[in-house]
Amino acid sequence: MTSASEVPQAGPALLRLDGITKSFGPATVLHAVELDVQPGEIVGLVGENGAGKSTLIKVLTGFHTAEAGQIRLDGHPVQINRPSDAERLGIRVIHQDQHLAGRLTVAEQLYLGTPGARGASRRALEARAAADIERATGQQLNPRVLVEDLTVAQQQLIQLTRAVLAEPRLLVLDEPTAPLAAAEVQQLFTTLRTLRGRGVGIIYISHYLQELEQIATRAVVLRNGRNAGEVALGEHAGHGALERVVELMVGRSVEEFEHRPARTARVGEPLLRLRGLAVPGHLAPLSLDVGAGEIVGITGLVGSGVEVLADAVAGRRAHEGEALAAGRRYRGAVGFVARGGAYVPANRRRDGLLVNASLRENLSLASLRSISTRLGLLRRGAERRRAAELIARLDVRPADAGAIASRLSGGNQQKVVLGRWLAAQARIFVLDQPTSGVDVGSRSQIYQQINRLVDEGAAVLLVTVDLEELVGLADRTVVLYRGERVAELAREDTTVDAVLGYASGASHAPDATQEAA
Amino acid sequence: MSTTAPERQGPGAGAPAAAPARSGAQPRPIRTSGWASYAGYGVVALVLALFAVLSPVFTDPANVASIINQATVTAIAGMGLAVVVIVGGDDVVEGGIDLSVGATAAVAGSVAAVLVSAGLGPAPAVLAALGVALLIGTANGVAVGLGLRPLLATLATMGIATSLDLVVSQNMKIALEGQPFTWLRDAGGLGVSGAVVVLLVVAAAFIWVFHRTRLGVNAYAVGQNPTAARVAGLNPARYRFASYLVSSGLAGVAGILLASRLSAAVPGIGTQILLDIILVAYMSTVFSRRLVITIGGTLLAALFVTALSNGMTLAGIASQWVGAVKGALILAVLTVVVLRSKAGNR
Repeated sequence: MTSASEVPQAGPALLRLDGITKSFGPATVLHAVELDVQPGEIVGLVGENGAGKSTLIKVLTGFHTAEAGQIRLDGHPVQINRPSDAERLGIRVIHQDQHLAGRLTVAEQLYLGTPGARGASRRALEARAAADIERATGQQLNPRVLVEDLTVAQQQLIQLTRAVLAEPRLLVLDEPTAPLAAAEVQQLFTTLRTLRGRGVGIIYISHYLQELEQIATRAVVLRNGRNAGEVALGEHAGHGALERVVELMVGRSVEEFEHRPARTARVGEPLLRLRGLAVPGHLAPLSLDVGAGEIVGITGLVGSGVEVLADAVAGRRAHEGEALAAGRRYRGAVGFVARGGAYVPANRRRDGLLVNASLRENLSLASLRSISTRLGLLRRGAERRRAAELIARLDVRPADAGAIASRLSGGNQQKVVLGRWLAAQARIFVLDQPTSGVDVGSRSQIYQQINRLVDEGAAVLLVTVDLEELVGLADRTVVLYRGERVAELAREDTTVDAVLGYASGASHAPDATQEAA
Repeated sequence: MSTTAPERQGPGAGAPAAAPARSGAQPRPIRTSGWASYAGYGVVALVLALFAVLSPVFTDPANVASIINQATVTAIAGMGLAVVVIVGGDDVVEGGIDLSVGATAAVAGSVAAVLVSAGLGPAPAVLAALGVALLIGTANGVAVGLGLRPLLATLATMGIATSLDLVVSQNMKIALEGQPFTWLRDAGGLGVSGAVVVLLVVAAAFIWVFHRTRLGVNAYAVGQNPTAARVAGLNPARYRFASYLVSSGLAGVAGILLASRLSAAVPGIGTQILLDIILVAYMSTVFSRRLVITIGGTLLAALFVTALSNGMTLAGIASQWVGAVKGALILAVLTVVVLRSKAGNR
C-alpha cells in the first residue's frame, strides 16, 4: 500500500518523489521510496531512526544524489544535485538543531547573508525585522535582543521567518517540536497553518505522533528504507489511526527482542530513591525507587525529559526534590560517587573519558584511593593487576593497559568507562544511553556485565532511547512524555510497540500518574 | 531497531544515515612509541652539541654548574606554572595560566630585601615574602574560582604585583646580603650553590607527587577532562584553587633565589623573567612522550633555555642577535615535536 495514486488530487502534486533509491557502499538505505505533497498540505513523515527519513530529505535538498528515481515539482521533472538547486526551486529545510550565532541580535541573525540588508540603517533593519517576523509567524519578537538570550522556541521563529522570507514552495521541518513546551507547540502550529493557507507544502518529520495528528493530513511511514504505508490523519482519520502508524513503524514481521528470563533473586532494599525529583522546564516531579538487584528502564523521545534525568540523578544538574542513595540524601556528583554511585554519561568522549590518558589511568580514575597508601602513594603493582583483571573481564581490545583511550573504538571506550565503576565497586549505576555508538559485539558484552552487576546486587537506572535494550534488560520501564511519567510497564508488558505508543503520545495509560511501588 | 537514539548504528540499512551527532571534538591522537617520541630530546641534544663544538668552554664543568645555577629561577617558577597548566588544562585561552608569576617573584624578592635591610632576621623576612606571594596566589585562586578567565584574572594580578614591587622597593635596587642568601648564591662544595640544592629538593618533591601519588594523578585527570573528573567524584575547583597557591608559592621561592643571586632585589625584574617562565612550562611537552606538560620536562626545558643563552654568549654571537637565534632554535624544537605528533596521526 503505497501512497500517491490513492490520494484524490486536483492538479499535479506540488512535489512528487518517485522510486527514489540511494545506497551508501553496499548498504541500500532507500528502496524506491515515494512521497508526494499537494500545495497547502502538511504531510507527516515518520519512521524509526535509520528508516531513511533523513536520507530522503537530504536527497530532496541536494546533499545526496539518488541513484534512481525522479523528483517532480508541479509535474515537471527537476534535477537537484546540490543544495543551491533546492533553494532555487523553493525548497527550504528547518533542521532539528540549527546553530544560530549567539552574539548577534535577532535582526542581524535574520538578515545574515541576505543581500538586501546591506547598507540599511540599524534602526530601519530592526523595524523591518519586527514586521517580517510578525508577518511570517504571527508572533512578536524584539529585534534588538541577542539570539543567545532567546528561548529555543523564539530561536525557531527566526529560522521560520528566514525560511518564509525566501518564499518557499515547500518547507521541511525536522522534529520541530522536540525542544518546545506545549503552549509553544500550539503557536508553531498556528504559524504552520498560516503557511499552509498560502499554499506552501510542508513535510513534517516527527516522533511526536499525537502532535502530528493535530497538524498533518496524513502520515507517510518509512521502515528500513521502504514505504511501509500511509495513514490518514486529522479529519479523515479512521479509528486507531495512531496505533496503525506505530504498527507500520515497528512492522509486524519484526522479531521481538528476547525478554531476559525473569530473575529468580528477589529485588532487595531500594538503593536509589527519587522523591519528587524535578528539573523545572524539563521534568515534572518524579518519584521512583530502584532496588538492589533491579534494572529500571527510563525512556522517552527527545524533549521528554530523559536527557536531563540521568544528569540530575548523577548530581550533575540542579534539581528540585530529593535523591537518596543507600538511604542517605546526596548532593552533587561528588556526593553521589561517595554514596556508591556510578554514572556512565551519554557522551562518553566529552564527559566520561580521559581521551589522552591510558586505559589503566582511565580505569583507576574513580578508585585511586583503594590502590594507594593512606598517605596517597600509589601502589602501581596493584593498579596494574587490577587493570589487567578488568580488561580481561570486559574483553577490552586492545588488551593493553598502556594504550591511549582515544585510540579505542566506541564500544571499547564504553567498556572502560563502565570498568572504572567496577573498580570502584559502585552499587548504584546510572547508565545514560550505555550502548549508543557501540558495535554489536561490545554491546552484548556490556549487557552481560550489566546483568552480572544486577545479579550481584547492584541497582541500575537504565536511561535509554533504544527500545530493544529496554525490552531486553529492564525489569520495569517508566515512559516519559513531555516531562511527565505516562506509563510504567512491567517486564512482561514491555514491548517495542507498547513503549513507542506511550513515548510518542499515541497511547494513553489510565494509570499515568500512579506512583512507583 | 531503535526509536530516537541519535547515534545508534542501525543494523545495515540505516547505518550511514545515523550520524554520531553528540560525539565530542576529535582529540589530538598521540604517538606513544617509536623513535619519534624522542625527537624532542634529539633536537635539544643536537643544539647543545653544536654549542659544544663552537665553544670548548661550553662543556667545562664550571660552565655547566653556572648554567644549572642560572636555571634555578626559571625552573622553580616554571614548575609552579606547570602545575597550574596541568590542573587547569593547556588550552591557551580557557585553560590554566598564571601570568602573575614573574611579578610575584619580583615582589617577594623586594619584600625580603626591604625587611632584611630594615634589620629583620632572614627567617621572618623570607616568611613574609612568601606570605605576600601566597596572598597573590589566593587572589588568583578566588578569581578563577568565581569563573574569571585565568588569562585575564592573572593579567590583572600581575599588574597589581608589578606595582606593589615598585611601591615596596620605592623603585630602587635594594641589597640583599648575609646568610642564608650568600649560601644560596655562592658555589659550595662540588661547585653547587644553595639555590641548586633548593631546586633539586623542589623538583624531586614535585616529580614524586605528580608521578607517584594519587594527588598528582588526579591533578592530571582534572586538567584533561574536568567533567569526567567530576563525574568520577573529584572536585576540580579545589584542585584549581590549590594550583594557584602552589604557583605563587614557588614564584616566591624563585624570587628570593633571584634576589640572592643578584645580591639585590631589582625593581621591575618580574616582566623580564615572565616570558622564560611561560616558555619552559609549555616547552616541557617536548620531553613528554604524550606531549603533556610535565614537572621533569619543565626542569629540562629550563636547563635548555639557559644553556642556549649561555652558549650564544660563549660562541660570541652579538648580543643584538641573541633574541633572534634563541627564538629560532626554540621554534625549531617545537616544530619537530609538532611534526612528529602529526606523523603519529597517520
